[in-house]
Amino acid sequence: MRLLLPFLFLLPSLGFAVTPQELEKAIQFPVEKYQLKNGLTVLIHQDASIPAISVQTWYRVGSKDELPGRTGLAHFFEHMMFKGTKKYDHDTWGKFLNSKGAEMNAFTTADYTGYYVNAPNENLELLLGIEADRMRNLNLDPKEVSSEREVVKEERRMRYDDSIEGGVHEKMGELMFTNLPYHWQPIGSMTDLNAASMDDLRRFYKTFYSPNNAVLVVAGAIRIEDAKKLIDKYYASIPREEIQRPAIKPEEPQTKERRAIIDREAQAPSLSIGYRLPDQNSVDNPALDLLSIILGQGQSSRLYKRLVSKSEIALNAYSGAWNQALAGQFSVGVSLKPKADPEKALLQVEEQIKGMRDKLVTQKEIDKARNMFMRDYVEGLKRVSGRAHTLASYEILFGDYTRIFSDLKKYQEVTPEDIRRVARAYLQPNQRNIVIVHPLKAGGAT
Amino acid sequence: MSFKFLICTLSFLSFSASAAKPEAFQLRKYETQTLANGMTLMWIPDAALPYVTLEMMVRTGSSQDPTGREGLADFTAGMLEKGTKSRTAGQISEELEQIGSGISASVEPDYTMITSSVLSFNRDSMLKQFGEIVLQPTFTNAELEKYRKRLLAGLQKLADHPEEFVGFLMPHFLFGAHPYGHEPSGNPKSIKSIKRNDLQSFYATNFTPDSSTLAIVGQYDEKFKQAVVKTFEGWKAKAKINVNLPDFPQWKGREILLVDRGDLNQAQIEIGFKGVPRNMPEYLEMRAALKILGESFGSRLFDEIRVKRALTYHINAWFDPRLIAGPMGIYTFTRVDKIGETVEETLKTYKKFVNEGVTESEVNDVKALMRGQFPRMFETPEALGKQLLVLNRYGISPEYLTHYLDNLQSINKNSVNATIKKYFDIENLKILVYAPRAKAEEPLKKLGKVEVRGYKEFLQ
Repeated sequence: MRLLLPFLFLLPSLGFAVTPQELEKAIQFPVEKYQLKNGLTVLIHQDASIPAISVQTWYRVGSKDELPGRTGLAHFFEHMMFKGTKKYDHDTWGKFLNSKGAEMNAFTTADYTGYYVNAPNENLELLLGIEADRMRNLNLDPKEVSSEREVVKEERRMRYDDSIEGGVHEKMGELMFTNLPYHWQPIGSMTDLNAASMDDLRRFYKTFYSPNNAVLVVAGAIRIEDAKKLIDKYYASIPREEIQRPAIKPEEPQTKERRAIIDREAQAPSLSIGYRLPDQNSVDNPALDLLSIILGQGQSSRLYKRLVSKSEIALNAYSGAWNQALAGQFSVGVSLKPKADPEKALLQVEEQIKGMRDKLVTQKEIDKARNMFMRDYVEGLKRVSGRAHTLASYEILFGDYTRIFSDLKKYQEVTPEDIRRVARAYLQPNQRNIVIVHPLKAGGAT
Repeated sequence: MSFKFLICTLSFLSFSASAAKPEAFQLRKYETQTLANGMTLMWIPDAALPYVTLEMMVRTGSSQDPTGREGLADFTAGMLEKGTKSRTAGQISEELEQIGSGISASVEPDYTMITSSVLSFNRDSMLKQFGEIVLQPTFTNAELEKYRKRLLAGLQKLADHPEEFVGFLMPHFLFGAHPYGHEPSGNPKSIKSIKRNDLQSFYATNFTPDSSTLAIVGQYDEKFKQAVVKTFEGWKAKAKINVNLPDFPQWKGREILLVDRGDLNQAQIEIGFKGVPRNMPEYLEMRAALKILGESFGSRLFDEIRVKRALTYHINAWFDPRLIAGPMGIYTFTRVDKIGETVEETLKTYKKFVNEGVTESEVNDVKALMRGQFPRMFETPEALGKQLLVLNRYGISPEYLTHYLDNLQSINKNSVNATIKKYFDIENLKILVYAPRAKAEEPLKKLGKVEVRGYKEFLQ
């Protein structure tokens, strides 16, 4: 994911000519951070514009913490977190919380797992009580596990097996990463989902669902002191656990292009290109973000103009840079027209990327990329739940939510030379991974 | 200033800023203004963040596509940004994106929405371009042909996105030749037949000041307000548009259409029946009933089909209320060896819901859910702006919002059950399944006569 920095929050009507310092000051919004003795990190953001709260509990565990043979465990476990404790049965996360006006869901990525509940603010104590309880006292009933396994497999069929884009995404991870646990997707393989045992789930729960591995964000119409007392009441007694993560074997530098072809029934071919990037703490990430916008976001981007508007071989062409804990990804996706040639598209994409490596982009292009970036920031901040999400993501990934504000300088300081430098460093032809979908003729249709 | 006068100052929801327990919402003011040419402007200020969003609704949509020209409204809306009297398509996207903006046009059966958003310090430039795009499109042949190719390719690729594909197929299956009987995107045959003068004519007839309402949301000042008025006051008034729609094409009994695609691992299942008009008096009861049936984690369908039987990852009951009765249905998907069981159990749950009604406890719970969702639904002024535009389209007073919580309080088990009895049909329904014939036909035959068609037939 590309993290969305919520700058411009509470920003007065500033023109273009503002300094990073002025912007940094203008985007501040009040956040209180502290840690319980058991290691739980707490962020509180008060905003009473509507009588609602967002309670987000994120754990520093994702599919990168799985082992081969047990892929999909983090996501499978996420489903089990809705199946009840001794105190709160499985109807809690459906009928009961709905009856309190609350809505909830969760998501699992390669790096973290997030749970959120958005509700009327009078439910703060109830929500904290429930979240704290399922951090420690989950039932893990074998019957529920067996049933939910089938639900997760349905999700896999929907997102990957019957989705061309999902299949491409999965194949790209396999190509791009040979050592890192980004080789597989959070959904896991069907074989591994079938193999996951009760012991696997219990071990996973004890290891990773502990306060010292979590970030709790409480945002909305609350009294800060009341929230602190409640958090202490429900979480302070939960013991910390020792977190043991699988050993990570770093990737070797990629020296040769890698390719995979997917032959399947499809109405049109498609082309995806992926490049490995440095990890989330790299100083190159702001330049890579702006590069990806200039190259492939919007109808005025270089890829769109070349492949969609000029040569008319594609319906859409896109690029994006994604930060991840161990290694990022730079992705180019081209949705081709039915009879278009993917090799021709590949040449046109490389022609544009070569242009980024060989020549400096203009200052005007950088300004455009920044403006598009800023618009997304503001969009993500319009809701209390959006701010809570942003806080949780920065804290879980960087251990420092204040980077929401301070990273802004880094985007302001990106120069055309920086963009050329990162293009040369990371987007060379021998570093690319290519997945092409070739349409097979329909077999089953009458 | 050529506008007549401020028609009204109404209010929308905002909440006390006091911390722990805000009082019931206070009313925040917004203004509605009608220009001399009949165009309505809706001013919704929001000083919290530095953005301006323009949301314009035109009161006609895909139901006004001429027969054989299905997709014309969508084609027209999509072409607005493909060239104006003073800018080419390339210049428009270049200039809009340079300021971090863009434009989107979406067409629904009863209306068209054109939206653009920008950080507030670039609002003047955005307004200028928005005005040009809406008021001076040129529909050049060169851009039209480019766009047509993209639309056709997009339609063909729909079949590779199973959920979207059943959404594309369902309107015609439900409504047939009725004006609601096609998706706004049209179909390959109709898109091929559309000519430049079709676009020009559709635009000239339907894009009129009288049929347009523009919501201006965000951070703006008096100067910007004047600029908005100046941009649109010169738009010449035209004849009023009357939208007349024939009645819902009621059918008798159960019809099953199996769209065959051999490589799918999952079956897409859509069960459709006659829905309701948006201005129905029992609208809140209807919403409550659908939520109990299948709109949340705690719903009956979710509980029965996903939680108890593990047949799916997702199931929901939905409706799309319109000027007249729109569609209503249940959507889910399942592995191909569970098609029969999934359809049967879904129908059984639905039938029980209709025959036995809902309980008092369910109604109380769903009222609490709707009460809790209400402020979050309108947390952003843009969401509120869109809601006001839609209400206006269906002739519903903004008091729907200001009285929402009181009206919600007044619904009860009896009123919800009476609504279910009146509007939910268990006899006359249509079942659409997108799945491999080899796996789906036999189990579906147990439910009724099955018509089988290959998916490629719909791509011609």
